[in-house]
Amino acid sequence: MRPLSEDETRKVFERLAKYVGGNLEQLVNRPDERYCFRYMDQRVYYVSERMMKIATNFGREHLLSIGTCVGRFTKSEKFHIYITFLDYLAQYASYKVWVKPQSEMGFLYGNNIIKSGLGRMTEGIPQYAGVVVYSMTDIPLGFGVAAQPTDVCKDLDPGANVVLHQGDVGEYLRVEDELS
Amino acid sequence: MRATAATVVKAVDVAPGAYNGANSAHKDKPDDLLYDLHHLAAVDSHPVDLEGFQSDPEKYLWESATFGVQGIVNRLFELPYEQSNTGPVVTLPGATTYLPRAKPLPEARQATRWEKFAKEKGITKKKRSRTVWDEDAQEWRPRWGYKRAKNGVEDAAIVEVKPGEDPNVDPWTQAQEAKSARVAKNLQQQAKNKGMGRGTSILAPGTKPGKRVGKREREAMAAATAAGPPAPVYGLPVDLPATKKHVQAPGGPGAASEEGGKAVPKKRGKVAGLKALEVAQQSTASLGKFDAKLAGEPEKKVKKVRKVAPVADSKSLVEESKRMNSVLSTVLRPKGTGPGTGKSHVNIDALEPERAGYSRKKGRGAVKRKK
Repeated sequence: MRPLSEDETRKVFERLAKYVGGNLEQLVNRPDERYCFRYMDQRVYYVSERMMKIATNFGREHLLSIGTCVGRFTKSEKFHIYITFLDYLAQYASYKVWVKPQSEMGFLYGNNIIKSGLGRMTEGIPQYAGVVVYSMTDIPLGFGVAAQPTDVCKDLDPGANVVLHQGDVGEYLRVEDELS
Repeated sequence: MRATAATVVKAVDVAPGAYNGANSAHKDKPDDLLYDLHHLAAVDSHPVDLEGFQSDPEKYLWESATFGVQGIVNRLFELPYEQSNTGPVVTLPGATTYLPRAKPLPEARQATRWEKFAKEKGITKKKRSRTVWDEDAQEWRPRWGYKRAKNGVEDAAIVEVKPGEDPNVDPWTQAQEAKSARVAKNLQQQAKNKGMGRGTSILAPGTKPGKRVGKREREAMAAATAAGPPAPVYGLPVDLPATKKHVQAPGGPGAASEEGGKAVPKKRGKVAGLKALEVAQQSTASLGKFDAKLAGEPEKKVKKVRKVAPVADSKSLVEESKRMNSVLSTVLRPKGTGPGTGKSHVNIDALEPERAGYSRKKGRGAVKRKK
């Protein structure tokens, strides 16, 4: 467990800022309790300082995970956000997309959201912006990338991709062993 | 007064005061020391006056020394001298005492390979005659040089092909090549002998130190020296001594066993050799940093030492939060700022309030004023 280097911090923040935008500041400087990011075996964890100090009592080989896993650095040192961070993303999301009930399962299996499955979306989403996906009952289902800006989506064919899948809650069952 | 050559000047005339001084020893003592002016030495062979010595050894020694020096100086001034631009110059006479050898005798010269062989076989050196019988001219002609005898292949117009030889070979070229090979071989052998320290040494009688070396000889010597220093041997030496682990056989010295008494070579093998190389590479004062490497030598593995930041103490946490915030401000900067735009996302006036409103007069980032 170690703090992130500056380079790593920048990569993580840039990724997160795609989804939460300016609200990232609320994540970094929380009013209630100080939270920090920690690096452990290629994964980044978001954990309160108090918890982190307790975790220093464990050896490296014994410590499996702390706090919430934000995501993971790949071998080529790119950062990918994991579904475990969905709660925070959903809380601070800048761009939201709601999906129709009949297309929910499709998304939860890892497919992209197509126009016919789209319920509604926030105005002014730029293309390839980070987007959090909700069900019509406002339950966060996952996150993805907007394939088209909002105004273009209105004129799309029913089968065209609207949101490109990146993470969904179905992964807890599908790829359980990959998640920490 | 300019003196002519071979003028004799007496010390008494130069410094009469010294002779009238209090040292009565100089006047009365008979001057029968043995002088060797070449070595500037005076030998006093009188027996030592024990009473005088023991009463005051320092004074006695001083007196006898000064007497000797005075005698040398007297005689030096009596020598014929010449004037030079530095003053009077005297040529010292030849030495009368023979000094023993200062340096050791030169080493006896080692016999060359041929000399050794000739000695064993009993071959003696026979002088070649200057003239040879020339068949064509029916005359005694010189063996070499001007109007030499034309006996060899090179002068023959036609050469018969012997039964076992190749008819397509040019015999003249062949002869020439053979001769060049012989000469080259001979020069190589000479160079080799020289390299081994055999044969003529510079101090041996009859050698001239400044002997001129011909082109072929030089090439041969260069070839002999170019061959060495010996080429680096890669791979592991086969004769690496094995660290023997003598294990006593349980049945006594006579019993045969797999482990008993067998040498366990610990330092052989690729792994151990590479490890040894690693160690050797950094076994210098600068840890091998400035050593010239052989071609093909593996690079020294440099362990990158990563600075371990302390994880959980309050000071580091404060620093960490500062760092995070600075990165945050970079990530969340407004669109028109940052590298390439010319504007900074950092509000300098907030950071340095005492310099708020500062603008450069000239240079990079200067605010151009309207005239």
